Amino acid sequence: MDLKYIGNSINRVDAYSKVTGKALYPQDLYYENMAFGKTLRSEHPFAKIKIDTSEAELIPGVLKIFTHKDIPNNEHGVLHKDQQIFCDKIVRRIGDPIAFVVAESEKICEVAIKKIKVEYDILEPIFDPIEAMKDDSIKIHGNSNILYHYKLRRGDALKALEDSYFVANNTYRTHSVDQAFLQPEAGIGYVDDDNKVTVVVATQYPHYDREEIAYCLNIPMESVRVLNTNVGGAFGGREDITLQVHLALAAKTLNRVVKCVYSREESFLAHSKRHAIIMKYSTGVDKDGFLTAIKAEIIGDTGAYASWGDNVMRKAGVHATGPYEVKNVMIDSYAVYTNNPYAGAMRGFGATQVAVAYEQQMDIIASELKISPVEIRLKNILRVGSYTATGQLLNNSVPLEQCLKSISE
Amino acid sequence: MKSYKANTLLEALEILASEPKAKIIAGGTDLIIELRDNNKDIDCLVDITSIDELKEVRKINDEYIIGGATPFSDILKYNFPKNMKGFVNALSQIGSPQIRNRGTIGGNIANASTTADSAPVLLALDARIGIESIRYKKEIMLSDFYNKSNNDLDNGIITYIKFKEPNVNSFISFEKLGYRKSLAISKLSISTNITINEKFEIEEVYVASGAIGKYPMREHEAEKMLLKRFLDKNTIELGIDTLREVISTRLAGRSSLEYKLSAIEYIFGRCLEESISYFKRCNND
Amino acid sequence: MINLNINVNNKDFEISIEEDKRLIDLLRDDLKLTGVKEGCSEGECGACSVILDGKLVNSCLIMAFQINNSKILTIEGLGQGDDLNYIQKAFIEVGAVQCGYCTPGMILAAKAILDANQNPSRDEIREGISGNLCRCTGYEKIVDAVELAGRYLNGSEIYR
Repeated sequence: MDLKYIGNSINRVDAYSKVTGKALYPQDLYYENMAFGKTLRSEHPFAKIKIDTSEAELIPGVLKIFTHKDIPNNEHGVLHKDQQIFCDKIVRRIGDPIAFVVAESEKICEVAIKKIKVEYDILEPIFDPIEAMKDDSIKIHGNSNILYHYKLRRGDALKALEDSYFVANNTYRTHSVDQAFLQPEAGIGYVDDDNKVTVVVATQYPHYDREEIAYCLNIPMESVRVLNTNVGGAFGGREDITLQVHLALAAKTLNRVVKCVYSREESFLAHSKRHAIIMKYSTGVDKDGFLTAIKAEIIGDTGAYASWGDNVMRKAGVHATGPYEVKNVMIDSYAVYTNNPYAGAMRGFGATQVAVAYEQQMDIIASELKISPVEIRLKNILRVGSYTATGQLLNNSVPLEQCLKSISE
Repeated sequence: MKSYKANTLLEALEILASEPKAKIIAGGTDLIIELRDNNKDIDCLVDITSIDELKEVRKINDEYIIGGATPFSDILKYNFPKNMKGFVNALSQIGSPQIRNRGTIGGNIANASTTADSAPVLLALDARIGIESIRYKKEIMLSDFYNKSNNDLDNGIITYIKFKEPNVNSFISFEKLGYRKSLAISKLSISTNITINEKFEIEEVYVASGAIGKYPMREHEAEKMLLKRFLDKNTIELGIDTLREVISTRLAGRSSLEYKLSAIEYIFGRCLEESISYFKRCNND
Repeated sequence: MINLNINVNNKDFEISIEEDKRLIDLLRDDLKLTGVKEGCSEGECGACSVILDGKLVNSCLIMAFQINNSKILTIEGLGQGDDLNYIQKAFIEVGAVQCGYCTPGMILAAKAILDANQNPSRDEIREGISGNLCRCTGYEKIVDAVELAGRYLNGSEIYR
């Protein structure tokens, strides 16, 4: 049977517009009589702040300088509303938004932003998540810096490690990574003919953005439209909002079309990062090379705000044993607040980092037992009939052995 | 901001003399980034990319003369002899195709950055540079330009770079350490220019470095150690040890010291080994 | 303000601009050629690449006043009306386009490669696109597309 799509290569529907340069991203939209917006961001990782916009407001061409005073509901966040649209009393990271200047031109915005006075009463920042976990540490939010703790228990890992022929004990660290999508954040805000607050933006979640805008502006969801343009890469970095509410607020208040385009530098400051993770692993093995137990403490630096920290660190915990079958498991994974850039979604979502640890452990064990890195893996990989660490029976389609054999040939 | 597009050298020099805060722009690959950062007191730009006399690569007798505003990609079109491999290597590793199409050799020098990719190899070639203003015209050693603590061009333009064609018993090598293949800022670079005699002894030697000092510079201690010695593995070791000692003193207390010391061994070693294999090939031919 | 005479995509323009404008601003803000993308503003990403007097350049690192009397080609000038150029066609067919933000610059880099050499090696292609970042594809498909475009150009493969 000749099928139209299945088994055939299909040209992307948007490819024509992209190869001809016709595809539009938010920065490509130009309107008559458009105003510009620019964000003032904190220069310190942890400080109490006082803001004085009076001098900046007097600059000709400045339409309004928005701060926490102008927003009905100042909190947002994908899981926990722990971020502020505009910081009011405290900044928790470098790059926290403090004010949004709207003016007749981008140049006027730049002049005005320098005239806003921010008084910083600097607090001692915490950059090390292990320090942040201690009882006597300064708290970045609430009563504890531990945002989330995931526990995974199977069998008796402590006893199994004691009885093991060899135990590899090692600590691994991965660093923070930026998604570095190629199109920096940009957007347009306006009030449309039906009186709806409209934000044109490149986003991964137009529906979430709409909720956040409606909540922060305290208007019904039906009064908000989010139009997604072409998205110039995202990789998780466009899951949290950046300029969406700023634009909606400015457009609604001023009844003007307002455009905002981030520079690459501001883009780095504005969005989430991949979690830097510290992974303390004990992997036990018997003398034949079969895994006996894995015990791991996995500490994810979620930075100043939660974003998807709970989910990312849960995934890190769930994937902590990798594609290997092991009967005794004790995993503790944490998402911990620090004053670092906030961490959230990035491709792999926590599963990527733990591979650094569990695969190194396998190589170290192989070298200790004087067997090949392929052999140690073939002995321990998940197959049809295996149980994962979380107790899932894999009842079909586990072609890992086939894959490993074909690449090692 | 004012802007001028000069069509002749004289025109450019006259503008520079009359505009105290003017700055020359050629490729603009560094200057425009500085302008955006807004931390330079510049109110006037003088473009020199249309001045033909500054964009020539010529060979007169045994000397190469390269116009200051010649983009790297234009220099690379010239057919340089095989023993100038390091020169071609250095230039073709600069930035990216886009950067090489705009960035000029004079701009690379005028910037006086320690990471300037063309500097070590030009120092190893013992290059001189011509500087001209409305008031003066001079030719100085490139090494003196860098040695002066204030390498201000004083309203002048680097009009040309000049160096002798290496003789047949010489070989120019260049090695650079960057974090990636293209658009990499040098973490360390070394260029050597070695002349041997028929006994395989080092007759004349230039060693120059980038990114291991305030400016690109000649490494005289290492040169002294290599001079008159038989060019072999042993001599390479001696050269590396000397350079490592010099760097240890120069970068004492710097966090990058240990990294640069181990990199030196590899980068400098590669320059010298490449020279050996070139000379051996020549002997066999 | 200064006056410029330029030719963009085979059309002559006489245009008055501010001195501190970059070429990218002139192309995007004044001529609305928004296929020229701004990704980094410092010559690292190549999204703003255009062909200036036959050479591939970053339009974010050139001041507009510098290009008086020059000829510029942007992605908008590549095809003929609605007909795609052979490189654009190859990029679509191979699947070298994902988010699309690097695509215009990448296609112009491909043109610069193929203008100089109709049969480039994969290494030469990689060198030729080394000033253009893509965060989606991992480059393999882009290199494939430039190879295919080369075959279209030298006639070893015929357009379907």
